[in-house]
Amino acid sequence: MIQIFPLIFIIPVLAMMLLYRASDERARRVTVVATAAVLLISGYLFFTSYNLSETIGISYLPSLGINIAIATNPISDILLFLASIVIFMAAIAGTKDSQNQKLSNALLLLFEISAIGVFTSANLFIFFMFWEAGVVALFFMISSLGSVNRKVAAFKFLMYEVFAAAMLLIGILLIFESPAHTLNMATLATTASLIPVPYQLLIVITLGIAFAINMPLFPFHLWLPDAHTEAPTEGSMVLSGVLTKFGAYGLILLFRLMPIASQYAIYVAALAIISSIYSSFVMMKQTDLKRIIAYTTIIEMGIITLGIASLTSIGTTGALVGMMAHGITIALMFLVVGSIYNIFGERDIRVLKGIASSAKAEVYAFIYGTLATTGVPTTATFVAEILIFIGAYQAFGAYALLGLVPIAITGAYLYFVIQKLVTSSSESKPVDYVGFWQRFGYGFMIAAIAAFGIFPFLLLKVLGVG
Amino acid sequence: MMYELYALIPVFAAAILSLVLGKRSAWIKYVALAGSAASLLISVYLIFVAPQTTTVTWFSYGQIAFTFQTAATHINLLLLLLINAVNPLIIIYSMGFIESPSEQSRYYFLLSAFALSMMLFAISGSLPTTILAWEMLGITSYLLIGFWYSKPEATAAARKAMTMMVIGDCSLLAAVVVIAVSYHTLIISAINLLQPTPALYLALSLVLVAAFTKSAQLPFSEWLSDAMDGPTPVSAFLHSSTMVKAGVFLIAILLPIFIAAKMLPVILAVGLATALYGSLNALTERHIKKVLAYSTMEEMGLMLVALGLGSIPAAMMLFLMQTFYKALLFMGSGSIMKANSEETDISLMYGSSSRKNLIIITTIVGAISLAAIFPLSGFFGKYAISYAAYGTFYYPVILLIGLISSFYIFRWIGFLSRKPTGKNKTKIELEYKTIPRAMVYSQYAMAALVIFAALLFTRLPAYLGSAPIALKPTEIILESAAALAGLAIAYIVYRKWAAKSLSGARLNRPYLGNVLNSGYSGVVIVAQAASRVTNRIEIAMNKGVSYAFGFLIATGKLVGKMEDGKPNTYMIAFLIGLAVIILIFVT
Repeated sequence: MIQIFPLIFIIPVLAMMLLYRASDERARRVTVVATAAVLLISGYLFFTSYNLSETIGISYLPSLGINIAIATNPISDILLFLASIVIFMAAIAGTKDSQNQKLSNALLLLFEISAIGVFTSANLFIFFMFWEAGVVALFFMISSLGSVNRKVAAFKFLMYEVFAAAMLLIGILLIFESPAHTLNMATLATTASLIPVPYQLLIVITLGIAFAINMPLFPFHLWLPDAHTEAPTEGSMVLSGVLTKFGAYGLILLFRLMPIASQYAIYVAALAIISSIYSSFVMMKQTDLKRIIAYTTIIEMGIITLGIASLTSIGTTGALVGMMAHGITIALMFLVVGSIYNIFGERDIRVLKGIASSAKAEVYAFIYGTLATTGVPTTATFVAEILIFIGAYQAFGAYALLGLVPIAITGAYLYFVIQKLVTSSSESKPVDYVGFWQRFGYGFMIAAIAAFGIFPFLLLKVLGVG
Repeated sequence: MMYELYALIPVFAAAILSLVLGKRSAWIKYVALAGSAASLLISVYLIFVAPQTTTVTWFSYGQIAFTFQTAATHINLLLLLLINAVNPLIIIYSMGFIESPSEQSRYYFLLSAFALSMMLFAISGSLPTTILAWEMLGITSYLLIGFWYSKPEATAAARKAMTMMVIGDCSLLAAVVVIAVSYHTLIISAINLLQPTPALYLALSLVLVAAFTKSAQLPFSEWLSDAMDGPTPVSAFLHSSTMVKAGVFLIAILLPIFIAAKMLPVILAVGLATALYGSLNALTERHIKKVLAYSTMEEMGLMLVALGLGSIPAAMMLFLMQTFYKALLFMGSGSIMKANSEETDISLMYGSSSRKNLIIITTIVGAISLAAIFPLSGFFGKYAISYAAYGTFYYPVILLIGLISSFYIFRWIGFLSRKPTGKNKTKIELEYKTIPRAMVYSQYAMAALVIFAALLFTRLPAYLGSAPIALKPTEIILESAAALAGLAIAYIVYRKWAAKSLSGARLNRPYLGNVLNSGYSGVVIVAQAASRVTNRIEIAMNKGVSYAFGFLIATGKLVGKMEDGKPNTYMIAFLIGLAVIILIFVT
């Protein structure tokens, strides 16, 4: 047991080293193999409900209570599996600029290390370090591999995320300076009650803002649509699929670690619903396919936050299922949109017409993605939504059902988008084609969404329920 | 054992095979037909064996178990049989109707999946099964209505239907959530025994919204008339035994809890309003299929009236009879449209000059049945409704609706059975002769069902285990008088107009339908306005953020100027600083 787990870190690191000397073509293969290996390991951890409760720790700065400590729990098993699925898909199917294969693959591997680190760290400082590494990887992915306005978008992304990271660091330092005086999460869980209430509130607010920016929730979400519009396909996939889950994971930890946080859960839930409804209306005005999908991320993350903020175990379980469902669905949607852009050189739904005849697989995958986004039974999103809303209804009563409004609006608008895309009084001309691996990507992700939707106990078993 | 699930297997296999066989295969339609026929045999068998229910736990959380459970009460088996009785005839009709071989694989897959969803709905015994079947129905109908996706009207209609379905799906999901939290059970038979609490009213209202969206009740009804841009066999299926019946059926199987919660007046009011709305729209509509669509709305409304009066056998009687004649009328209109080169305006369409043209004759049989003229099956269906309403305040309204429906259907068939005149005559005659046999024969078979379904009048209440519906002379006379009055009015009003085009007649467009559609546009406009406002906020926030970044950059530049690397500047700054310090210390 103990031998296999460190491999999940070692493999991407070794692969990055190999990339340094590899040619462009080989760089891609190395990355695919490495991410596939990570996927296998995390799959093994997931299906065996691997629980490494004792931390693997290396003392790093003992005087500051910082040690490189890694532990897994059921939640991190799920998120690790999600991250490795999405990153594997990004590696195998993300359409890449052939000039920059090495850079883009190296950044993908760096992001993988960062994601694994965030979801398994047992020490808040390590959590912060891995978080920052992920932000840096995505910053370069947008700023050097993105489309025309990439510099501005990347800068915006960086400003927001650096601000979030600063808040995170402040929050962590506040915890360290508090009477609890530890950065070890396991210890903190027992000593957090020692922290005086106003001081705890300060910690909750700083960390809450950090996570709300990352998720993102309503007033802090402005970076996400721009970042998505400019990011390359694989960047968008991991950005919405994995990076936004850092914040949600952080929020779960926050509610678990800080006793005072639960008193403010209702405000978080209100913000989540406002964020979802607001974004669903903004989405209706978008015409760029990538921006539309980007806004569905904000909507879905709002619903997931609602589940977390319900503080019921059923709501939190729903939120975790929702993270899994949303992560894969959104990666599928961005992959499809990336392929449509590749085929037609266009992403605007006012211009794209009649694409069904030259991009049939893309249209079907898009329709499936729409079904998965709106939570049709047999997709994982349905299980997530029903658990989240049961939890939220228990906690907040009928107000929780307002969260279904943005889902209905999303559905209505996405069907409108499909109508725009397929109706062909005239047809858009394809300028390029996509290869086998993109189609493989659709199939793989559709299978994953369906598998978790039809057999939800796969996920629930890991959490020890159902 | 799981006998009731066996009925689903052949159709499921047919659906999978039509995908697997792919575009080129000529066998797909026969596979679909064989699947539906096998399902029909099994569902006939089920009527006699009365199977047990099957339960499979999907997933559970604490006290709340999400179980897939089937129900095999008589009402479930009746719907299952109805679907399977219509399905093979629809498939035979489609064999003639769908000409392009490249469309076959997709068409038969979707049709089988659509039938399968409805069959699953029919035998559903728990809300998770219901919601699964419910959303499958929505999606497959979406894909079927938009089947000819290159037609803008078809995709627009599909989207409109789907928007309504999304509203219904979300309400049903919300209802499931409320019931799960408040009562910890999702089994329909257990729900029917619950005690009303405020949460139950919320849940049942949400169920009603869902049922109204599927059954095209006010205010969600206008998707149904637009859905006519789909293939005609799909309309025939959708309007007779599937889709629109789902909402009515959902209310029917949950009727005990609606009675306990005293919510019947809501069902009755909406049903009556929709019945009036549908019949008045059909009165002035000119689109051949839309007349039938509005008539479906009316009939669904009447079924809800019966349910609102607490009478399941009356509702199920019309439920049963309407299936056959509505399917027949759609089949007939598909054939007539084909003969008139896809014209849809009834004032420009013609029948055949041959008196022996069975396409027209069978369609007339369907029309007479819809008009509720004795002794065709439609009469018994509508009679059951008036029987349930007799003696109440609503009875005259129902008679009036009967008169209107007789009027519009005779107007409809009156135009369609005109003899062709002028230069088109030979062409239309030829077209009638070349209509594929599959379409014609399935239409004949359906007409036979329309005639013989009347025999089920006494059997049905017995099968459902309720008191028989007695035939009372006064009511029969009143209802027949209404139907005949409708016929007479139609004859007097349209006899003169029949030869001419209706294009100048101001009466001949659906006013009420436009009103409701503008209502929808109003909702869309409000949503778009909200969208514009939020988008403004978004842009303003983005601007604010840009200013903030601009400020940061400007500050950075300012600070950067101080450190320009020139020793002179530094020297001057140093001297100024020194002077300031000296001044401070001296004074």
